[in-house]
Amino acid sequence: MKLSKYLLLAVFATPFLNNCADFNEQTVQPVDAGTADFTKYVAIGNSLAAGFQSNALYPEGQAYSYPNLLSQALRVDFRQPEIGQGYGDRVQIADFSNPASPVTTVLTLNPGVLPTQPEGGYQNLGVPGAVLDDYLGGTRVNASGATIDTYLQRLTGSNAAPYAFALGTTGKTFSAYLKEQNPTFVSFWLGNNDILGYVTSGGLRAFTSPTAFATSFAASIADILSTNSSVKMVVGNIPGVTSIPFANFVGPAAKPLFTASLPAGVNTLYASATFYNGVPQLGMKENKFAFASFSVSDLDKPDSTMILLTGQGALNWMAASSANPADAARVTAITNYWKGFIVAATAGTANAIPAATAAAMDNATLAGTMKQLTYGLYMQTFGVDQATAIAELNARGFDVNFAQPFGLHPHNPIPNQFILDKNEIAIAKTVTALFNGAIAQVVAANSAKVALVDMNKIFADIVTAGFVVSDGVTLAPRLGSLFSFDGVHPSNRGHGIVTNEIIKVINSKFGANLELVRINRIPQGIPLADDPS
Amino acid sequence: MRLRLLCLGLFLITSTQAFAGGFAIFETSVRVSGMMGAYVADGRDVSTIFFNPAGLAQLSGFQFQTGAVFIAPNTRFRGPYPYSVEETRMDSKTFPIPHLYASYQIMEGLTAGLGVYVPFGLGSKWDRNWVGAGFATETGIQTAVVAPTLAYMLPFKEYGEISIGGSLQIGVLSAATLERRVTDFTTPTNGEPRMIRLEGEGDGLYYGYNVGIIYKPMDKLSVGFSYRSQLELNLVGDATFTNLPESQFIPGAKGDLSITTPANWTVGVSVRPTEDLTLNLDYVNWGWSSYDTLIIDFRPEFETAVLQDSKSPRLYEDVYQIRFGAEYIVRAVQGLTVRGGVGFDKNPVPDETIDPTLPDTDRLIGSLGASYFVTPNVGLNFYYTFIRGFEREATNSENNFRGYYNTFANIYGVGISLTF
Repeated sequence: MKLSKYLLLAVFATPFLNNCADFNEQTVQPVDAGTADFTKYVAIGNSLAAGFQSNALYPEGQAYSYPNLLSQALRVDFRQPEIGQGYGDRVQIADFSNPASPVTTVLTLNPGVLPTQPEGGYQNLGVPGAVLDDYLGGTRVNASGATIDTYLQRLTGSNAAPYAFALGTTGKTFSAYLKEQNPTFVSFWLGNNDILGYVTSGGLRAFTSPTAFATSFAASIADILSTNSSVKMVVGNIPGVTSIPFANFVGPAAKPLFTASLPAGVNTLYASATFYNGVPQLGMKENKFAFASFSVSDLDKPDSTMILLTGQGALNWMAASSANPADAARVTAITNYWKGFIVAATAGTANAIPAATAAAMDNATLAGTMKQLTYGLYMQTFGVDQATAIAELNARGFDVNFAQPFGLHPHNPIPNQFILDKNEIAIAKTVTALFNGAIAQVVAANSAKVALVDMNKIFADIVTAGFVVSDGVTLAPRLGSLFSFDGVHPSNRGHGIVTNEIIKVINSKFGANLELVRINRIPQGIPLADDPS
Repeated sequence: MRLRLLCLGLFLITSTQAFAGGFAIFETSVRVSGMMGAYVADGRDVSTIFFNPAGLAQLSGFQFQTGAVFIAPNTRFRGPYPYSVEETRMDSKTFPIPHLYASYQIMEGLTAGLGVYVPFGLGSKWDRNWVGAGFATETGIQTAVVAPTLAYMLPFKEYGEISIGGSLQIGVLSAATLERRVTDFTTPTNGEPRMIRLEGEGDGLYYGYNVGIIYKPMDKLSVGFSYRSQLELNLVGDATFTNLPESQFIPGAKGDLSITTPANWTVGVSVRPTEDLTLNLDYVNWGWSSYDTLIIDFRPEFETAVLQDSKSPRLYEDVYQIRFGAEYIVRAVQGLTVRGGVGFDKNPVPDETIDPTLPDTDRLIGSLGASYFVTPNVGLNFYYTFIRGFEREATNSENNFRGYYNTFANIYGVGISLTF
């Protein structure tokens, strides 16, 4: 019986044996940094750096922001602001029945309460909406024409955007935050919004003057390099407007639909246009026409006219006319759009039109108001008096008349906001090239410490090829693939591609040995409604 | 018939966990597992039906044995490499695995038997929020085989005893569970994960065989060889989708899944230097290269743009086991026999395809066992095994989900033997 006791003992002793399991201490191995020092990495940027996707910022997108992915490749601690559920109106899929063209809906995310500021602060200083000038804290003009302080300072006010709210902004500039962090390595990709607002508004919003951009860029880089003697950095330049699905998705997709549905012989579409003085160095051709025409057959040509993603809905209004009772609902949609437009365009001016006044307008009154506004813009642009403006515009066939078929006649044009016309594409390209020239110059002047990631070429090459393949994953420059559903910001995997391009530059420039991000390990993260069908 | 009903009742409650390389199980007898399953040349216990059916020819009268082993594995993952060494533990669970064997000597040299055992099985479960959830949150394979067996000892014994035997393996249970988190979409606002789960059940019986030979040139020495065929498990799977768009993940979707278990052959030697001591050494070859691809074939009416057949390369390799076992009759204590053994188990999962469904590793195994005969006819069997898996560095897998797996397991067994 003694033996069985020993056996019992042996059984009870087994938990101690478990400690013999082969279990080696594992640590995250530091990377070979080459001539760089990754001890403290800080990202300066805009919504792309923040991880904004599908028109919102939310934790599952933040997790795959290119700065966060890069910090993992650098194997350093990196903190991004907590954003609760998120903020913004996220575009997400409600109905997947047709995966090629899913039905989307919008979810307004709730950022929740202000999180406690972590010790050591945040290293991701990407703030949605930031323009280049915000780095040093200049002044700029916001969308509605008002002069505001720097983006970050504005965020401390009553209109605080939740993201910066989480960042704990207290009126400091990016530069001040960066100095506090005292980084050894910085990624700086800022300036996209200096032209993007122009593009996404169909040429209605201003772009930053290229001269001012060049000055500001040089000053920003000098400011970062003055932080300490060891800091090194990568700088991204500005991708072209034709690279983003926001600009290049709708037109080519709509072309066959137009071709099939337009009356025989009709091939010309009309959109309202912005007046320009001729400024050849910015690509601006003089434009005194209140509308522009473009050909359906050119819709898939990137140098022709682009229908913006925001204009997708307006395509449903094609050919609607107030003369046709069956079009009543569509005509109301058109006039409602213009009512909103005249309210926004006059807001803050002496001739401000209250929303209620606009809402009460009949079609004739609305048409008259739109004409007045157009005359005013013409006078402002070309410095002429009203009589001249009216005479010159009339001579060019200008009128507003909702009885004409929408989009098919210059008097009932597609709103300018939804269209980037040929002139505007040329302007955007010229300005982007000027920005990138300035960036290249600053990088060259500081080449010992600053490396350039040619984002413009990277995205252009992907668009030309039609796809990019990495780790067995094929991504096309489309919504839901390389790009998220807002058509501007990359998807999770798009961020992976961006990160790898940055890593390649870091490796070659600084002799580092960073591992590429594995694209097949990044979840697609397609935004999906809670109860999708 | 009564016997079979009893067995089926037992297996209905069975979950299993693989505890040999791949998802093979050789802990199919409390007695023989005490000596590390090294038994191909020995075969003097009725559970030889599993290890080498030829052994049955040596058994006289009526023999009966039943029992269960309880496998308690412990697996940890650290990663994802190279970014993190954060540890995740697989949910711990104890898997009971029963077995039953009976034989009857029809005439001198001819014995018939019946075995019921679990030759393959797998059970792993991870938290739905763990870092590898996109690969696996739950994986399970269940099998059970009923094996009618016949063994014959050749009547001419000029050069020693030669026994041959064979089993028909009738698969009576086959089931598989595959569950993973779908990471292609954002998480719902309530934080509940989006999941896809496939539960497959066999569409009927499946068949295989097991044959063996034992040659015993003298009393103190025998050699043996056995071969076990593949088993083809054809499963019909019912898919459950949680928080996924019904237009693409059609409720009630069915998918077919086929798993072919590897054939294996064993060669071994058994020596008895004294009447009380037996030493057995086996070499086992597992033909895991048969497990090339795991295909989930959704029925065409359920296939959509998003839900498509899945083909996961497994590319398992043929591997071996070495088993050494000893049995000693303790004369000082009436009715006591003690056993022990050590084994080495090579894992078949290559670096390219390792993933959390089966984070396999090479193993060193030690076992202890004992039988105590209450009466000469009634024996109680006990057994304990400790399995120490070598750390698996999964840092080259093609799925790029990389890290370190550490596994150990305790296995306990109790059973009873009856002889008449």
